[in-house]
Amino acid sequence: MNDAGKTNLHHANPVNKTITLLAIESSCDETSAAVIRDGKVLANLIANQKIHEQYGGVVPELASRAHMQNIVPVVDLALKQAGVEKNELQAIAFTQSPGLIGSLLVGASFAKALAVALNIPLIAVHHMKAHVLANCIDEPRPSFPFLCLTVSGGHTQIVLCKDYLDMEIIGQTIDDAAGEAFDKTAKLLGLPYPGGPLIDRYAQQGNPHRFHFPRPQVPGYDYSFSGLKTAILYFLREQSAEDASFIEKNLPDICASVQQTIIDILMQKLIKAAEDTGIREVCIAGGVSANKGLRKRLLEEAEKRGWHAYIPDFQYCTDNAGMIGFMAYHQYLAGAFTDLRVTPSARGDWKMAES
Amino acid sequence: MARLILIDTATAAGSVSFAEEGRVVASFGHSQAEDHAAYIADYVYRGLSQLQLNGTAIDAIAVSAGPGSYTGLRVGLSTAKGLCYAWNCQLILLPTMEIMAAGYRQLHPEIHEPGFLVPVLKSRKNEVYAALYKTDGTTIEPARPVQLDEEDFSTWRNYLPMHVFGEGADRIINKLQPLSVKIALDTTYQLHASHMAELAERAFCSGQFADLAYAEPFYLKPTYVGK
Ligand SMILES: Nc1ncnc2c1ncn2[C@@H]1O[C@H](COP(=O)(O)OP(=O)(O)O)[C@@H](O)[C@H]1O
Repeated sequence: MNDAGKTNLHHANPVNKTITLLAIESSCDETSAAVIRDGKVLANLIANQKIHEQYGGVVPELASRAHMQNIVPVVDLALKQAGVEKNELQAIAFTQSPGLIGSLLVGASFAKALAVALNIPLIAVHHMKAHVLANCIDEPRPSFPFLCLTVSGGHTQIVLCKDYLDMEIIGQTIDDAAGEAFDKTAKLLGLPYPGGPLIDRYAQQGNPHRFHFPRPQVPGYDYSFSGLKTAILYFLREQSAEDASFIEKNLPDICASVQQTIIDILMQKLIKAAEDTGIREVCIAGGVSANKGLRKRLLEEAEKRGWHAYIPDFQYCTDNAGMIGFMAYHQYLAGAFTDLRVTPSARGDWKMAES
Repeated sequence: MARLILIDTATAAGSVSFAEEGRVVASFGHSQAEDHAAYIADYVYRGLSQLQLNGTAIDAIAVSAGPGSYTGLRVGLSTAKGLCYAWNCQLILLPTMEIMAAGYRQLHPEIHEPGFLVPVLKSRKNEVYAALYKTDGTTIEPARPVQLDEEDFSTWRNYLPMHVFGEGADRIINKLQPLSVKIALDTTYQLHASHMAELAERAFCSGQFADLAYAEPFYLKPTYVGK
């Protein structure tokens, strides 16, 4: 062992051996653990932290405290559910970035300790890349290269994915994320946090063409959602000044119209990217991909444009360790392990350790 | 005989020690808080290699549980939980200020007359954490946040002679020095995992174990949530 050098818990993997990994995700307000064998998810457990709902957003210190109490039960349940013993594990994977640093630190520290204690290698996973690969976990799987629109509470990205470990962001939001646009709108409407799913629900009974909101002009494949937020704020203020119960009376139509606008904005750039690259394998990922309107619209565009469209299973849309483990499995195959001195980082560097 | 791993990341300096029957057999450390997340697991790996031990030889992991920096405390405790879970061994939480008092006594065997020990750590602006122990280790007041502007320091005169030490001690020098010549201040004391050895051994022998799943650092304060 070399004290001055870096400590790498490497072990040669004999060919044809099954590979079983434990993955830990703690980037935001969900503590999740998954067990993955040969790329197949055997268990994917997610502990939500309901506590944040009463504060109208994720409170970082509370999230860190909750991870500390969730981590052992969640990991233990994932292993039990998968029927896997600790000593059958070949590597420990964890979300290294991006995310809330206090939250990431709990998962990372726990994962590092497990790797040392079990004397197996450690795999650091980039959360946003794992979101993209969530599309490859189950059948039907997209073939490479594919485009992925990743839409979550913190990110909005169009990713060109050439291989499991070879992907590139070709467009992203320059201000708010799409999920934030949903959540902030919901807040303006007096709906509880997280508002995205509620807007989705009301939108289903509303008329999406009733109200009109501006579409931003942003070059390339980039996005902007801050203008929309402001437009909605002024719109609601004006209407409510005239009729104090405007929101109450028109909730489904407002939700449907706002949702339609967000979806239009998202799809416009995705369509442009597909046309420019000639790629017809098109995926969505991230928490907002649970949105029914977005899913429906993606399938319609696919029909119209001859795309093959993919949407991950719901459990792999929001933050989950299953996708972290799936990505880690491919890092394992590529020998992309990390040394024991790795630290998490809040702002993820896209060019990370795995390749 | 208990073989224990001791972890302290409550303040900027972080360290890991290995102890056998209360005696320290290996130690590793750093002085920057940014290094906690990078090094603590690595120290455990290095200690095991150096001592040629594997996990089955470890009886418990003891952690310095606070008060201290929330982030530091969480790195220490999450690491300890990972080790305990993997090895099915016991978890011991030790109050950081008791560790400081034990460490101070160890470093100052010349203190034998009855008196009082007051470990002090920095908290935020205008606040420190402090606790009050007898020199024999008995707790008079457990750790608490002390507001520098509100605290009635004159009551501290009831506990003389007093040894005030720790990295927060310099913040209260000017409050305490005028009170009595029997208050000794030492700002050089540095917390270290090795100072946990005796306390951890005692906790192990008397079976004072923490619940692995639900153990939390001693935050001392609820979360402040701004709206
Ligand atoms: N059905 C839905 N419609 C719109 N937004 C949704 C829906 N379901 C979840 N969201 C949004 O997804 C976001 C959470 O996604 P997630 O991938 O967990 O985000 P992050 O990792 O950034 O926290 C929230 O902004 C939430 O409102």
